[in-house]
Amino acid sequence: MADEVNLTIDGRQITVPKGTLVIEAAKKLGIEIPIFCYHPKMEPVGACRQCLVEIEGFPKPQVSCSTRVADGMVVRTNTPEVKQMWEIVLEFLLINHPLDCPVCDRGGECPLQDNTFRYGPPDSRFEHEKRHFEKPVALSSLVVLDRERCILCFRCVRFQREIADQPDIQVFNRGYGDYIGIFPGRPFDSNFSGNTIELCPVGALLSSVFRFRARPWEMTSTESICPNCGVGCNIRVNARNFRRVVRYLSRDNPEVDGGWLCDRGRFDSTFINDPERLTKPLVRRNGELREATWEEALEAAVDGMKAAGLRAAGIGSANRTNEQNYLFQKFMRLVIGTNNIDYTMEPMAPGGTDALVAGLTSGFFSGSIRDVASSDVIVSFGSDISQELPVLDLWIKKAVRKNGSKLIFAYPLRAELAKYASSFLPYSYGKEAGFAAGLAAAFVGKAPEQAGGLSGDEIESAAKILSEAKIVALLVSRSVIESAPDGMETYRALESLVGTLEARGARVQVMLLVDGANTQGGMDVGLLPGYYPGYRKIDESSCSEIAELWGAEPPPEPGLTGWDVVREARNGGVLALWVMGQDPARDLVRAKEIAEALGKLDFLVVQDYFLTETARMANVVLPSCTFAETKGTFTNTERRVQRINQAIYPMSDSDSDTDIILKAAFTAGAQFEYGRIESIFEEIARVVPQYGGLTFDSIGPFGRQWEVRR
Amino acid sequence: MLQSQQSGIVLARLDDVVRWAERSSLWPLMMGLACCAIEMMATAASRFDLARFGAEVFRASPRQADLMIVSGRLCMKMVPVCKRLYDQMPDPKWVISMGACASTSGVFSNYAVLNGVDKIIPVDVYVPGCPPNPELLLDGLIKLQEKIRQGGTL
Amino acid sequence: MNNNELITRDTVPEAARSVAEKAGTPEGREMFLRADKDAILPLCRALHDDPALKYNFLSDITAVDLYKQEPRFEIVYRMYSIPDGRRLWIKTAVPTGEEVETVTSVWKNADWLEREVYDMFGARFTNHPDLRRILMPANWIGHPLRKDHPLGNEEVQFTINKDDIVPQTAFLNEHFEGMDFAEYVERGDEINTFYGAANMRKYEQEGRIVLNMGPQHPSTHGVLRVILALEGETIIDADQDIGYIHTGIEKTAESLIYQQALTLTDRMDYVAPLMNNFAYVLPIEKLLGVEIPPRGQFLRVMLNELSRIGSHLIWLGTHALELGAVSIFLYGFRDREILLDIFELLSGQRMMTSWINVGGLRDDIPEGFTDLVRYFLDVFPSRLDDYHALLTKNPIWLERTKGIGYLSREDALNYGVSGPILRATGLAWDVRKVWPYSAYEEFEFDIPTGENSDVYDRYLVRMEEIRQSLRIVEQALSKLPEGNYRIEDYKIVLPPRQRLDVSMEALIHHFLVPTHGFFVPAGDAYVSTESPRGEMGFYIVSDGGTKPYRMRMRSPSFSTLQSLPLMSKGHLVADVVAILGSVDMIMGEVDR
Repeated sequence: MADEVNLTIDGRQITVPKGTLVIEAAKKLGIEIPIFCYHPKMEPVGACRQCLVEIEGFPKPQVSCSTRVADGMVVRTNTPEVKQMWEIVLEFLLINHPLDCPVCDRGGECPLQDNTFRYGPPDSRFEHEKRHFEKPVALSSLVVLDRERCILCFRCVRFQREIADQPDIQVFNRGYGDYIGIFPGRPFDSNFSGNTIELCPVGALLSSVFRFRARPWEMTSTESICPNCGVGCNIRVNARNFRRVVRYLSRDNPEVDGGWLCDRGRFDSTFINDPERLTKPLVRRNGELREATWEEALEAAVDGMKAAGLRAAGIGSANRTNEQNYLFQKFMRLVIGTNNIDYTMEPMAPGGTDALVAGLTSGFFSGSIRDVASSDVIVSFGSDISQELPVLDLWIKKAVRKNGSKLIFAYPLRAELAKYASSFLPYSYGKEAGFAAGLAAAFVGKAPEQAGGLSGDEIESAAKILSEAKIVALLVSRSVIESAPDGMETYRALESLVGTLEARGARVQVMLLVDGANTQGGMDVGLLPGYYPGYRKIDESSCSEIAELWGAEPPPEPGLTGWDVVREARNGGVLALWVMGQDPARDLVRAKEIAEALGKLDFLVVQDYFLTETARMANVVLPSCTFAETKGTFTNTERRVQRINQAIYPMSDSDSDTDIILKAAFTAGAQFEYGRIESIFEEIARVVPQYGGLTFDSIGPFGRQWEVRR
Repeated sequence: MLQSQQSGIVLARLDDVVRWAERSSLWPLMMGLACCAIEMMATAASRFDLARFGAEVFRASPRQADLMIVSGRLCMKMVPVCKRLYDQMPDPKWVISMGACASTSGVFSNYAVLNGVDKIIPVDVYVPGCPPNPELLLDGLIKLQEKIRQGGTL
Repeated sequence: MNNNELITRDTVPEAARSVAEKAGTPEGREMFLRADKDAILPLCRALHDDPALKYNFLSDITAVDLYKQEPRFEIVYRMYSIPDGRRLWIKTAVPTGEEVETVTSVWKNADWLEREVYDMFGARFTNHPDLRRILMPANWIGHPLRKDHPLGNEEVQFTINKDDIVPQTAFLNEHFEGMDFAEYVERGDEINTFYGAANMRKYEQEGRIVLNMGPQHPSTHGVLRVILALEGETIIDADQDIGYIHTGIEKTAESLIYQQALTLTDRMDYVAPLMNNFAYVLPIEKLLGVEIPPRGQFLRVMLNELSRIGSHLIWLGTHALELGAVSIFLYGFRDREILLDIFELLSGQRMMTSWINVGGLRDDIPEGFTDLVRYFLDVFPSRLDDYHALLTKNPIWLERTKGIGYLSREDALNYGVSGPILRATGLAWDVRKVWPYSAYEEFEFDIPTGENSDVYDRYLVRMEEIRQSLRIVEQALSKLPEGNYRIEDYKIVLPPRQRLDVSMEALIHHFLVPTHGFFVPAGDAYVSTESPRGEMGFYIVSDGGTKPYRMRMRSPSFSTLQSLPLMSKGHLVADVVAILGSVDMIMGEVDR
């Protein structure tokens, strides 16, 4: 075929697509060629010269990482000359390398060590003084540079330039005087700086958080998901002795994170073993929180909640698993007897949640992260993606810079992605509906004079870009639909826009941008006051449906939203609240009002890892486990259900949130029987139609999306 | 003990005398399992001379022995045998777990070796080593004698 | 006469279905065949019976679990033609669930060897006279050397994790049929005894006395259970139950890198630990293709022979002790103490030195070493004469050992018996002369033989062997070459510590060789060595990685022990003690 090439490597034939690099073709045959600067996700540079091979017809050896295949090419990697070249290159690299192995973090997982052992010289012929630098140098509070160890592969520089587009780290000088550094006065504060640590093939760039914590053979590696944002990057949790988590590494899910992590997630592991972790349940007696046994605490909690009857409420969490959130809402509905459940205490606009649910259940929101990479126009509406979903920002940058996609960036502030936008639309806060309607109208030629705080021209230019698009990725922030006013109108406007685009022959994928690690999952499993699990609007028929699935009837009336709870708490409409995994008295925008409201409650239970602001006001505090101490699933912004696995034993007396709820249910006399986490997930799969057919096993290591076809 | 200078009479507590007799005439059971047994034999031989401590009478029959020195790794097939031998020994009896394998399975943490003879019988003294020097075994024996002197029995 | 000429499709028709697997040695003394499993019995019979081929000695039958491949098991046969010094390997592939015909009708020691393959791998042999487990408890579930059988290890305990370790009992509870571990501790002995004595039950029914000796008994040289069927005091039949010290060394070695597995080998034949180290490193060095410098080879020979003397001293001491000559025990151990001092001076350890490593020795001999060895060589020969004077013409000794435990040469060969026992039948077969390894060709020594093949002759043979070993040590000492004691390839051995201050490459290798381990090219290799008990060797199969895929030890006492009933029939119970002493088996190597 025209776009395929036949070549021979070490006497073995292979056919590969045109444009393949020789080293990639060799890898397909299982032939290993040592490398340093080459990286499959970045452009080849041929800087280190390690991957030299013999190619017939070329008088000199060629670097296989930068040479593309040609038809009839004959490559040799197993001749004595090639082996000698590999040895020589390594010898050169080692000449100035400091004898740091005993104190270098990389020892034991170091490509330089491994390549030297396999292909390099056994001893040194160098008898002179090695090159010296002052070391180590802190490039930022997270990344440390040791210039003596650097072999100048430039992977760090290339990553920052090609992928993160935040070229904070550079090569200075030239030739023998090359060294890596940052600009004077500007720390290496790219949000993706941590990736350079994983990329660095030696111990030059190191994590200051992980430094000296463990040798590779002392660590266990557990597959898990980062609990920080809605992208749900796949990570490996490294721990020692099943007790201390020492770091996270990337895990390369090609459809979610592409092998990268953001700094916020990567360096976040220290909270797990923080000495301030709650060690025992606490119960307030005589005005003070005192340690208690689990029995005492759970009894107090259940009694306090049940006493409030219908005037109890529960708030679940965006960073707890589906199993934990599902059990929580089931407990609140069946055991405490209230539908006052939500996943947030933020004020929501009326009808906003309904619009969101409509979008999710109708299949309107059915896009995926990978759509971003393959679209010619990307529309981002209402999210500062670089802050909220950082790794998604990398996908957008790649699309714009490499694939020539166009970005329409609609956001009230000039956020980072604005500079990549072909059209930057800073609509005004509160005018989202108007803006969306204006854009939809402009697209059918009826552009208004102004909409959402923008001029008609601005909107028209965006519409023009859209009209030329063949494949569109529309990324809509949850807040635009749920929190902003007139969310239902915004939703309708977007529906109409998409309808028009599709009528014109474009393919449109709409993805909801949800910023919490498991907010999507929380909504799916029922942390919504107006819906039972699986987005069943609360009414008589859905009530009996759920009653049949659960074997017991939940309350039949819709409950209060989180913000309603705040308002009602002020006047005695809500007396008791159970907060699982949140600190609304500190974290939310209206924190002060929330704190005040919580102070007026009769009874407050808080289930968390630390003694947070909210917990300080509680009557009962239950110490819960972090994501690293339990097993379960998270659902990310593209509705991908992904597994987390247990990496360490629970700290001190903390308990997994699933166990806490189960024990609370038992204390209240209810029969929640689940042998294992897998069984809870099985029930979720039965109750939530979107999860139908999934099992904990079938999710696999890279997760499975739930989709509803339009 | 009270000793009278003139009349050659010694007064002592019965317990002390009994314990002195017990510890000074421990009769080990001949149960050499593996490499430690070779060092146990070396301890009994003339250079290290176990006889000095009254323990050179190795008895083949458990009925006649009061000290079981588990010298070597205790493998699965031997586990019930060792238990039976221990049960057959009359009271008072003591056990020295000689070597790393008998104490914890040593280098052999696997399906075939029991990770410590104390999983099936109670142990008085653990002697580490692979194999322990005869001097170390003697030290273990002396510690056992001390334990007996202080009234430690099973 | 070489294999290449003798074994062709014309001469051995069964070989028509076999194919030369790889090139043997150029002069045809070693050959590798691959055969269909159905061709095994006729091929073996032809190889054994044919007067030109005379493969009268079966050295080993073992298996390799290829695990994810089918056919899953590779059964490996190794046989020797003793008169001509030729070696032949046959490998055959056996899929899961299928069987190979037994070759017990050709060589008797196939009985136990095939039982071990069955026990460890689950591969069955058709028409085997007695296919039972041999090393594992009777009601064990699973076949340990299969790759999907867990190692069964327990995490190392620290203060921070001791409450959370999964204990070994949890694993053990799953592996005994019909009972958990606690019940096994109570009832296991009964079950194992009756299973082990299965062949002897018929004598009970005939009304004879069936006597159980062991596993704890003063004169069994380790934990061996012998079951005797008696007519009065005369033995009419005997059987053995082994496996009481089965330590799972072969399986543990598969999970350790080569240097770590070396430390396990000391503990197999534990009276001559350095000989095991030696036998283990030789096939690895063969696969690596390295040549040890002369000084290293001479030192290895010297340490080897000193270990042989040490082993024979234990044999002498315990053998004599059991027959009543207690002083010899004390004398023997006295002299062994000098040897242990030598090893302690060398390595810091009396017994498990692990001093012979891949590539040479762990370190050169220290100051004072040659003096101490010379001291031993000075004082010991006259002491050996004293022991001769005490025993050799002693009427009690003669009464107890002469004419006892006769084993004919044909039987010995057919049972795979080697070492002093084979030599006592009059056959001067010693691996050091037939297939010299290390620098043995450069030494002058004789091979003592006996005539009557009884306990007394075996005693004389071993006594003379001690003298010959002294001769070798003397030569090694006086002709010790200068130079390196090991190869200097830092991808295999550790670089010297001084290099760590200045050489980056040396530091990297010093980091990775002990943590990661060196790579051994894929393939398999075996080197025969002469241990005090006979032919010992390690069969190493490598998959190109840093850990042995399969480590098999050919144990000399394993085969020798099988012939015990033959030696004991017609003798009295007390003679069994003498016979066992003359067999000089070490159960650590029999059971591994």
